[in-house]
Amino acid sequence: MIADSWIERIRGLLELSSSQKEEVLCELSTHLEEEVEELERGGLSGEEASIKVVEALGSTEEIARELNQVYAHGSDKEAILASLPYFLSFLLFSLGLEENMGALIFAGGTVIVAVLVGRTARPPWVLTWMGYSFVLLFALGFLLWDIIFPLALAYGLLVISLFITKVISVVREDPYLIPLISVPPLIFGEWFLEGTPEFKPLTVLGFLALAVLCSIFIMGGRRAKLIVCLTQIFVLSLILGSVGTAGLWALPAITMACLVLREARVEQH
Amino acid sequence: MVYSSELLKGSVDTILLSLIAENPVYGYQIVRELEKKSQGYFVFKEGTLYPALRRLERKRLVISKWEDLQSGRKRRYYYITDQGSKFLKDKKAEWQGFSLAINLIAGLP
Repeated sequence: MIADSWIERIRGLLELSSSQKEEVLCELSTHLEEEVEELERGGLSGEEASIKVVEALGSTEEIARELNQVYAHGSDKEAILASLPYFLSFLLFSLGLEENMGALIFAGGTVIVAVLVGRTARPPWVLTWMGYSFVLLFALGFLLWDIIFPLALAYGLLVISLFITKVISVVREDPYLIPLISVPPLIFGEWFLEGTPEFKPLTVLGFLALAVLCSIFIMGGRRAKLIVCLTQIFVLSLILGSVGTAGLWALPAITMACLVLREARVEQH
Repeated sequence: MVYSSELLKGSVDTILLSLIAENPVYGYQIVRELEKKSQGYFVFKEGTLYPALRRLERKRLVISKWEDLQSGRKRRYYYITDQGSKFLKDKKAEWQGFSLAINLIAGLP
């Protein structure tokens, strides 16, 4: 009972994604149980052993604070990696190279990085690359649309279901991460739907803003992540609004904002 | 013997890497090994070990792998990386030079 309530206290104090939280708690539980068992073998009662182990482990506040700090802040390198696709988009569109071979190489590169890194581990920075790799997959669908309509339809449905599955797994892990994977396909999906119009200078600057926001997101603490996350959604809305005329773009942005705010409320409690 | 917590804080990475370098170890084992090898000298709050291990993992000095036990529990084992081995080697050399200089100045054997 004492050990369980110690673990539950830590659970309440950790500000981590659900998978990170479960890993931390599993490791601490194993430590606690093994040490209690050892003390019990030495002649202590279960309760005496639990009290001793909990005392040896230390303050739940101190451990949770340190763990929150370690997990919250990404490195400079991770921040650069997360923002790189947006920065390259900014360069491509500001230099008018979006229909150039460079754009295709860039898009292909994002798929390679997303597959290679995402296969073994999934650090948060790779989610931007995953988002961009979906852009290429969607683009192929739009190309097929004019050539073989039934095949394009089947392909489109497959890519959309794959995208939704990925987003759901990200939501389950940490809703704050949704904009990282969702923003690129939503921007470019709308762009393709509108027939790839030329971006306005302010829209191009939006990519630069997203690059900066991504860096802050990776390096910032939990509170900074919430603010950046909502700002990313706001920038997404502005970009989509400037590209498209339909109001449909508002739906994913509002859904994302709701999920993020819900998570923030849960964390506060 | 009393030592400053700042002194220990500055040496945590080296101490943990030295233990992990010998054999892959898990959290509770590290606590026991540390107690045994330092002959009870190092006493610290065991829970603070985990943030330190996470920091080492973030710096890519160690990696961790989960193993399922027969009891149904899961243990996280830590392994030193090549980067970690190099870091440890540098830190040991740094410590050797530093402690030698302190001993010379303080007139210790």
